[in-house]
Amino acid sequence: MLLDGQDLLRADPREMIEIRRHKMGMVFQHFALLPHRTVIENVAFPLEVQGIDKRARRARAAEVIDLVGLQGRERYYPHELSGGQQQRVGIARSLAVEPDIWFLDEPFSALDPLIRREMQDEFLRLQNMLHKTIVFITHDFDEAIRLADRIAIMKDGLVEQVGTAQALISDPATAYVAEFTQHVAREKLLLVESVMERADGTTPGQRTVRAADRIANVAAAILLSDQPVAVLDAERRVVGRVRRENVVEALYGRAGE
Amino acid sequence: MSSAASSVAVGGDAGTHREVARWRAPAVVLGPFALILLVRESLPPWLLTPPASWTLPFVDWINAAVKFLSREQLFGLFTFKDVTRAIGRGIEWPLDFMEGVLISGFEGVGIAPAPWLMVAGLAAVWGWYLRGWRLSLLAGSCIAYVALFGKWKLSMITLSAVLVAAPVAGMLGLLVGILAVKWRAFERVLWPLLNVMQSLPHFSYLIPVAVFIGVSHRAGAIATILFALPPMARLTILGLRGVGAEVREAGVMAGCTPWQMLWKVEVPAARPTLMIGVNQVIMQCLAMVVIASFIGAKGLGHDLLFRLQSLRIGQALEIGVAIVFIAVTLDG
Repeated sequence: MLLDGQDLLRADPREMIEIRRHKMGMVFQHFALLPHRTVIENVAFPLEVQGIDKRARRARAAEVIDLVGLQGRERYYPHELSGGQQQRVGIARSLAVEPDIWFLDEPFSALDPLIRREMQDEFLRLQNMLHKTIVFITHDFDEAIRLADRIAIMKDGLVEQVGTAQALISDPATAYVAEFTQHVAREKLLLVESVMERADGTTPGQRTVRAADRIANVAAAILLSDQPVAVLDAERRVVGRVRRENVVEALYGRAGE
Repeated sequence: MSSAASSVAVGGDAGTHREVARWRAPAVVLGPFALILLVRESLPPWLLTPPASWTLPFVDWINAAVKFLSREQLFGLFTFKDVTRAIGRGIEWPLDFMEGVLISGFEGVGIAPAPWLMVAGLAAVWGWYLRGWRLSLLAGSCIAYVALFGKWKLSMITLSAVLVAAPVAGMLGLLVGILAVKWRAFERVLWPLLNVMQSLPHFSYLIPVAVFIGVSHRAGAIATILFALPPMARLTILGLRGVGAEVREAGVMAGCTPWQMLWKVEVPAARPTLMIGVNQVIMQCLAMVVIASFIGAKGLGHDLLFRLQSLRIGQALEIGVAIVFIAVTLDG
């Protein structure tokens, strides 16, 4: 297992401590905040462990606290915060050292669905700013679809398949992957591109959709239309058309099957 | 449907069977012993009362062990007793220092003993700092009461002994607890030892201490420390074990060295339990510092012992109240 050319499995304990201090940040399922420290002290903790002086680590901690939207709560203790806020502290702490790799171990599983969704949006917002290499562990396949570029499905400690969400669904490598992806909401995942009939330049109807749209977002437009709907590519050229039947079949299977 | 019915029937059978078995087992086990009572007359006498010659020479063993430890040279250099007496002298100077502050003053450098108003005031300020005006009032007035009571000097001797014994016992207990958590083999030895120490009556601590330290004020302090140590060790173990695996992992991922892990993560996270330990230590110290007057500890306990022996109940009770007030102050 290589990180920046260094084999992690061969690193001795002291090297591992250095790697953890400077290259890794981790967010835990149950937040794992230190109960005796305030928000800012928790966030500054990894810097304190490195021996960075108090003023510098406070300044950096304040920066990441702003980043996760917790300004004004620096002096609160973890037990005074809601679950979502506690996890924001966990996220801020993991980012304080500017890690190269960001681990999130089921970070939102302990949160209720509304807050979870909010935190997922927050996560996407942060990633748009930070562009980190992220390993995000989850049991929630919908969450994986929402957040991930590539998904690895693991069973008993072994990787069953790695690929985009679409690849996992349309081309499962093993029975386990197929089972896992069976109940996924396909309309949220499949693109118009994958259900349309190819056709070039002809019959632009009144309605158009884009090839890169997710079916969920354009299903109403397609299903309400008697006519085939024209499909446009990124340059707004017609590349195909899509009929009601294409959508219904892709989502629910062919009639009589 | 039918399978459900039959399984219920089987369950019922097993139930009655178990019912019978439940009554039979005690009868089988206890029956023979009841029989002994019935045939008592026909049994040989040695079965009824063990003869004196069977008594284990336990006393002799102990005496031999004590003799060995106090007379024989270890490594041909010093006796065990020399070691313990040296440790005993080590506790002497903090005791002297506390007494200097509270009772006798330091004549050499021209510092007078703390007047009662100062002690009461400090207790009040400290109480306020720890938990606000309520505790401040309580601590201040308890000390003031003790002062107005006419037992000031004795109370301060007791207080100074506790103020030395409690921190020492607390720190040793913490250390022992940490070692036990980090080092399994040590815990296996420690645990039964703690059980024994905690079930020993208060008075039995005095004997070995009297033998190996001598009869003196410092021996009283050492007996107190020994007595107060086990609950702290136990609660340290409990507290450190109770630190969540994830919190520990957070420490690891932050890149803590084992030392940082212990002092920045584990010990602080176990704080609530450790504070209960500290409270226990203080209470045990107070309980013991009174009893330790039997082997020469000075202070209220000594006076209490004296009054009780001469049956002066009133004065004894008065001292008891003073001790309680000191306890209340320290506990807060």
